[in-house]
Amino acid sequence: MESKPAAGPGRAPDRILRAARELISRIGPVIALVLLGAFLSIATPHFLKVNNLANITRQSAITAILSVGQTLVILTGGIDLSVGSVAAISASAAAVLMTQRFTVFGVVVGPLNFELGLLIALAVGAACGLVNGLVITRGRIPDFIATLGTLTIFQGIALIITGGLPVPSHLTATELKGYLPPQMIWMGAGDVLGVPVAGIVAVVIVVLGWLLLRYLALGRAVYAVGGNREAARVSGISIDRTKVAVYFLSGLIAALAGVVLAGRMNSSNALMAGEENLRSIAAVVIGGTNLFGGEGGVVGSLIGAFIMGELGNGLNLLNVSAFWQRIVQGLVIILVVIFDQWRRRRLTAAA
Amino acid sequence: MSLVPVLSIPPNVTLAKVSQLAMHRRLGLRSESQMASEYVRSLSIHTPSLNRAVMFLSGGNQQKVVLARWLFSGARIVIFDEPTRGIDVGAKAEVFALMNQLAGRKAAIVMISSEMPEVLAMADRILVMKAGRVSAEFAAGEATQEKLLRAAS
Repeated sequence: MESKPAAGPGRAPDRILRAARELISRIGPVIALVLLGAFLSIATPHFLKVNNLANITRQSAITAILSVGQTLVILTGGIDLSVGSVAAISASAAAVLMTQRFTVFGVVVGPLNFELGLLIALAVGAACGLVNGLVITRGRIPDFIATLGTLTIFQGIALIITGGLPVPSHLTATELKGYLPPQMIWMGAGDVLGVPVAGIVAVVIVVLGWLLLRYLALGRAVYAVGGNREAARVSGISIDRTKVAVYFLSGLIAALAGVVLAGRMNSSNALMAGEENLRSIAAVVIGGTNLFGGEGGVVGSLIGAFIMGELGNGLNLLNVSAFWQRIVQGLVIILVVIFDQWRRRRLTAAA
Repeated sequence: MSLVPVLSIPPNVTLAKVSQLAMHRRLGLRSESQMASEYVRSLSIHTPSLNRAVMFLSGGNQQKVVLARWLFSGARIVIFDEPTRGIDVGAKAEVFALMNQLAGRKAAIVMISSEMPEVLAMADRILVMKAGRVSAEFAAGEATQEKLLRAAS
């Protein structure tokens, strides 16, 4: 190893090489997305159709929205296993209130309109996120354990709220509107000038997440806590407050994803986003964020979510059986992370 | 080392100040990198670019980034725990110059060191610790290596 520090800028070819390497590592996920898309366009005539692309966007948008909150959490070195459950409980609570009539202290309430329902969904999601953050920081237990616990707790509460039935269902919505508000369905299944609304929502959330991470003090704290907890602590950053903030935001964002998902299916149920707990984590990791925190960002996670959506869609179009799809998706996650680790080691060794 | 290795120089330098901001407050990214490049110049931190992650810097340069943070933070009391451990001779001299600079700005410095020549050269007041207790106190002029060693053993 060279012990003398490099004085001044390196030789020009070195610098160009290094810049190129950094660029490739940054846009690696984009390259993967494009290559996979190119392959599928050639392999099957059904892939590159407007309808199909819109479909991929709608599917991937849910994961993409969830992965923004997940990215914030993972960047601090945490993990939120409960995002799917939070999405389901938030959307289900709102859906029940938006489709049924209640008597509260003798006053008949409901069904609520969309705006109030959305607000309630967000409030429920934020409350769940707050619970996660407080359990981790007050209970002094690992993020993994805390959110593993709340994962099933939130599912249980959602099952109680919905009575274990889809909302709306023909059993619970007999007297009133049998449907969710049209605005909610528009969010999940509608489009603006051919672009799926769900995709627009996802992009907006990603942009907000990017702005937060780059320009706000909280964003800096997130990277510092994940990059070196001890350094962050001695510099005066409150680790607990940063953690509570990211879990709170993750819950809030998950609620929005839940509303979009319920809108897409025109129905909500307590267990609807079970796969998303892990899919959102996979999207973050595929997007190049370090699972141990400190490195990465939300744009990568958006790409990661779309890679997974594209992959699932492509395998369907290629008539790969659902059994094999699971194997392929698992392999992709493992290979991406192996490659990512290898790249990081090379980058560190090069210095 | 209290650096965030994957972050570049500017965020590492401003960390102690940024931590005092409310979460929703904006960072001044432009003034941050201007300020950081001033420190890079005045502390002669050797780096190919401001945006290199600090983990790629040498030990002495990393130490200087930490110093820049506390210079910038406006801290009144700074504790240096073995500030010259694992850095080369040239960087040591620079670290000492910086400590003097800090002291000149009315900051109180507590330096912890087991290198006696360093202690004798830097300190205004020397406390010798022995088995967890202060065993002797000397003013700058009156201490010698022998006296320190006797008080410590």
